[in-house]
Amino acid sequence: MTVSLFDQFMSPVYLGVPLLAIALMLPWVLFPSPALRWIHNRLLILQSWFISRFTHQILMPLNQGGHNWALMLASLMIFLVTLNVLGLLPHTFTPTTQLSLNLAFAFPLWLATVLIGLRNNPTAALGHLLPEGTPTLLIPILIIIETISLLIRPLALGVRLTANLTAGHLLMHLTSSAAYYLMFTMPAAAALTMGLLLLLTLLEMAVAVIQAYVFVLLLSLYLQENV
Amino acid sequence: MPQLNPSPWLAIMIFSWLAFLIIVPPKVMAHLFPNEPSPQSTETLNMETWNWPWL
Repeated sequence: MTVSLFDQFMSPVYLGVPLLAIALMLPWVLFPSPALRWIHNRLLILQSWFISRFTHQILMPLNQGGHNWALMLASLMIFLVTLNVLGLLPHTFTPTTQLSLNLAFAFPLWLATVLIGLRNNPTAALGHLLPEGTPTLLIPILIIIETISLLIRPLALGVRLTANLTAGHLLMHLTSSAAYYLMFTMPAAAALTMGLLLLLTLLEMAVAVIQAYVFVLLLSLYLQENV
Repeated sequence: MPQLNPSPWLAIMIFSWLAFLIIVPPKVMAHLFPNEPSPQSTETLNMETWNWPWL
């Protein structure tokens, strides 16, 4: 039974075409490229506001050097939010449930921040491995702990997004299956389960946006340490 | 867990980066913000600290 529940996360292939390709290319029709006019339609204005407010928000704690990353962080946020939210539609495939995709974004971007830090300011970058005010006896073990926590960051970034979305989708699948099978025998219980499903869907909408934001925010924090 | 199946990993990684780099930044860059914020709105106003106005 458990095996069939995870089948929704298998990278789907239909008539030999990997559907992941379509899932990664179609969402961008929802983001029309704005023409050169002063005021656009509502959709474009909303997207413009989102991009400008988000970029302002995420670049606030970064110094001038970090502002080079504005396009990368804004694009990454748009990418992740769109994929996460579109995955909440029934029977759609969410590419961000694939660990491969999340690690593919987390690892190179984290590595870029670390390399920037080591190249421009190696003393400060290595200095982050020892918090201020550490008692002398704890220094060796704390350096080891901080190094491990540094090296585990890309894995945590990728797995956090994957696990959150996978768990949410799995729960929704379970609850909706339960509601369906209960409908014929115990309709009242099925109605309660549908209520639970509604609340769960609201939670998943929040989780979709929040997890995308957390991914990009953590990357900006890693950049802030190193730039 | 089917996500741990290693066979489509490289294809997914390459394809997702390609889709991300080729499609999204041009769309984000196309949004232009021609109005500079006015200095009047960026200076912080010297507000009084909040106190209990009804006491």
